[in-house]
Amino acid sequence: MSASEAASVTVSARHFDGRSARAHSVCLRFSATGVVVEGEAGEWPLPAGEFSVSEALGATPRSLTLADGQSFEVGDVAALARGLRLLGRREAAVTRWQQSWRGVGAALAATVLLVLVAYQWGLPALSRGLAAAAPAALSEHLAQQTLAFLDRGLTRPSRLPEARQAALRAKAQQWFPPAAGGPAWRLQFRASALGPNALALPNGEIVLFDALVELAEGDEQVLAVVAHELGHVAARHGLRQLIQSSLVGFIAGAYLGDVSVLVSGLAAALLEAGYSRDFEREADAYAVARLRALGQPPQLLATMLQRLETAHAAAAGEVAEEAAGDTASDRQTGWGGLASHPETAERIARILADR
Amino acid sequence: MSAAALNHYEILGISPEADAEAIRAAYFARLEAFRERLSAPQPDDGERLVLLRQAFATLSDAGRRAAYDAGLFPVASRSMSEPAQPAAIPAAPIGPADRERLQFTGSGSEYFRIWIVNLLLSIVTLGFYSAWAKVRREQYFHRNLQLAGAAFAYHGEPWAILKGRGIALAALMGLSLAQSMGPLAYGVAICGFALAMPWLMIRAFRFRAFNTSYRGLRFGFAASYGEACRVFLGYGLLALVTLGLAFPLFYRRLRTFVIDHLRYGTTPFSCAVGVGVIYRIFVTPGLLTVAALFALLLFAAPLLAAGTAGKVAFSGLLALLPLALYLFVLAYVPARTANAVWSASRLGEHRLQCDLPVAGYFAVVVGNWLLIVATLGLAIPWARVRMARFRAEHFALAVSGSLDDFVTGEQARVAALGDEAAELFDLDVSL
Repeated sequence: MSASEAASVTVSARHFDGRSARAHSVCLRFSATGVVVEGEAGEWPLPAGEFSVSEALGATPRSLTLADGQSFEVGDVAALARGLRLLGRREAAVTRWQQSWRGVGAALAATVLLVLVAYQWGLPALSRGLAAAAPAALSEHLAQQTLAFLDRGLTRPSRLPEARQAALRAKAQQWFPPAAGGPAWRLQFRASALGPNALALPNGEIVLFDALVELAEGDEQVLAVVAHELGHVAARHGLRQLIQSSLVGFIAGAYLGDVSVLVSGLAAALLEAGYSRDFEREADAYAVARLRALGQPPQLLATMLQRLETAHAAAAGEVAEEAAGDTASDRQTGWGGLASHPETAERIARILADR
Repeated sequence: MSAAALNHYEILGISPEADAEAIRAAYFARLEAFRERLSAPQPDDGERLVLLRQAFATLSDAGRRAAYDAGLFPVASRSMSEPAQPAAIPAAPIGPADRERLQFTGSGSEYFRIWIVNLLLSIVTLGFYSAWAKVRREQYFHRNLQLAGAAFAYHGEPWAILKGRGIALAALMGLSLAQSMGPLAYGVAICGFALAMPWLMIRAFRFRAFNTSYRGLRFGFAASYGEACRVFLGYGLLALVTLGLAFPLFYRRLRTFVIDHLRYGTTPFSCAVGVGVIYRIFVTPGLLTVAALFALLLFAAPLLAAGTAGKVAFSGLLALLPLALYLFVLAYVPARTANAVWSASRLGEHRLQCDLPVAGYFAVVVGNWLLIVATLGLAIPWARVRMARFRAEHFALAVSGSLDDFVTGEQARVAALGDEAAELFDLDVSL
C-alpha cells in the first residue's frame, strides 16, 4: 500500500436525506481523521463515530447510514473498503471469511463433514439418549394410539385358533422369559389384509399378523421373528424412529422448505429410510444373539425373511392398488415391518455370516 | 475520464445490433470481471461501474434503447432497432421511456460464499445463528435489486428475528401440549391461535415492509386488527364452507388487503384487481382437477379388470396424474396471479407491471429443483439467484413524473415477532 493511497480516498456516492426519495450526487473523502462529504451545496464533515455501514456482501452496493435517517449509497465498494480501512474500521471476522475463497472452501468441507457425522452418529446418539430418558407412560401412550389406529381398519381380530395362539405364547414365554434380561413384552395376534408382517410397539407389545404365522414352517420360525421384534423393543426403535424422523423432517424443511415442500419431503423420506435400515440390522443382530444363546440356529430368521420376501413379491401385484390407497400404513409398518425392505438378500447374508 | 467518451455499446463491448440476450451476457461478464478484481481495484472502478450499470439499464429496456439509439445513430436508428423489438413498445400504454424495470445484479457464486459460511455457522450453533444468516440473505437479495439505478436495502435485526422465532416456537409447543391434554384444551388453543393469526400477519407484513427501504425511504404497512380478521377469518371461513368455491374470492381479498395497506414513504400502494380476473385464473386448475378425477374414475373399472398390466397402468395413472397437475398448478397459479395482481396495482401515480411467462416460470422452478436435487442442495444459492433474476426481469414500474417526489412520514420500530411466526407456521408473506 503506497503512502499517497494511505492519505485519503474519495468515493462517489448518492446521498438521500431520509425525508424524500431525491438523490444527490456527492463524494465522500475518507482520511484518517474522518469523512468529509463534498456536495453541490459545499462540504460538511461526517464524524467517524456517527454512521453505520452496511456489511460488505460481495459487490453489492453498501450504505452509510446516520442516526437521523440520512444515507449514502455507494456502488464502488472496493474504494469504500479502502476508505474505511483509513478510518481504522475493520470488517467483522465473518465478513472477511465470506470474502475469502480459501475460507469458503474450508466452510464447505466442514459443512459436508458435519452433516455426515451428525447424520451417521450425532442424531442416532441423541435419539438413543432421549428415548432412554423418555417416561414409560409415553411409550404406553404411543403404543395404544398405534394399536387403536390399526384396529380402526387395517387389522381385525385374529382368526388363528385360540389353542395355536396359546401355544405360541407359551413357547415364547419359554424362549424369552422376562427375567432373562430382555425387555418386557406381550404377544398380540391380528388378521390383516396387509399380508404377512409383524411389528413391535414402543411398550413391548408385539403384533403378529395371522398370515405371518401361517407362512412359517413351525413355531420356531415365528419365534425367530419375535426375537427380531424384541430387538426393536430392547433398543427402543419405536421412540427413536419417532424422534429421528421428526428431527430429520424439521431439518430438511428448514434447509429445503423454501425450495419446495415436495423436495424437502422426499429428502426427509430418503434419509429416514437409511435410519430404518440401520434399525433392521440392529434388530437382526439382536435376534441372532438371542437365538444363539438358546442353542437355536440363526437360519430360522434367515429362512423366515426369505419366505416373507417371496410372499410379498407374489402379493405385490394384487395389493398394489390397495397399498397406494392408504399411505398412512407405511409409517406404521415401518416400525417393525420385516419384508417391507428391499435389501432382504443383504440382511440374510449378514445373519448367516454372523457365526 | 476516458471511459465517459464511450457509448453504451462500447462500454459493454457489443455491436449496436446485439440482441437482449447478448446485452445481458456482456453485462454480467463485465460485472463478474469487476468482482474478480475486488482485491486489486483500480482508481476509476467506481465510475466505470456506474457507467456499466447505466449502459445496461438503458440497453436492456427496449423503449429506452430505441430512444438512445435515435440519439446515437440519427439516420440509421429506425432500420436498426425497430425490427429487433417490434412488440415491446406499443404494448406499454404509457410513454416507454418512463418504464423502469427491476434488475437483479447478484451472482450465484458470490451468494454461495455468503451462504455456505452462514450455513456452517448455523449448524455449529444448532440453528441459533440462522437469524444472522437470514439477515445476510435478505440483505444480499435486497441490495442487489435495483430500480432506476438505486438499490433496495434491508434493515431487519438478527436479535429481533431471534426473539420472534423463540415466541413462535413457544406458541407451537403450547399448541402441541394442548393437543396432548385433550380435545377441550386443544379446541381452546386452536381458537386462541385463530384469533392471534390476523394480528401475527399484520406484524409480519409490517416487519417486512418497515425493514425494506429504497432511496433512503422506508416502506410501511398499517392495517387494523378488525379488517385483518374479516380477511383471514371471514373470507377464510367462507372459502372453507363453500369447499373452495369461494377460494378465489378469499385469495383476491388477501392480496388486495396486503397491497392496499402498503406504502412507500407516505405514498400508498393500491390494488384494483377484479374478482373475475382471479376466478378466471383459478378456473383452469379447478377444471383440470375435476377432469383428472373423472379420468381416474372412468379408467378404473376397465383397467383393473384387465389383469396385471392394467393394474400397473392404473397405479401409474394414479401417481402421475396428481404429479402432473401439481407441477402445472405450481407454475401457472403463481405466475398468472402475480401478473394479474401487480399489473392492477399502483404506487401513487406510478403503475406497476408484472409479466411473468408461465412456461419460463415453470422452467426456472423445475430447473432449480433438478439442480438442487442433483447437487444435494449445494446449488441452492444459484437457484435462489436465478429465481430472483427471473422475477426482477419481469417486473417494472411505469413511472409517471419523477421518482424523486416521494416523501417520508412518521416511522416507528417494529418487532420481528410476526415475521418469524409467519415463517415458522409456513405462511407465505412474500410481496
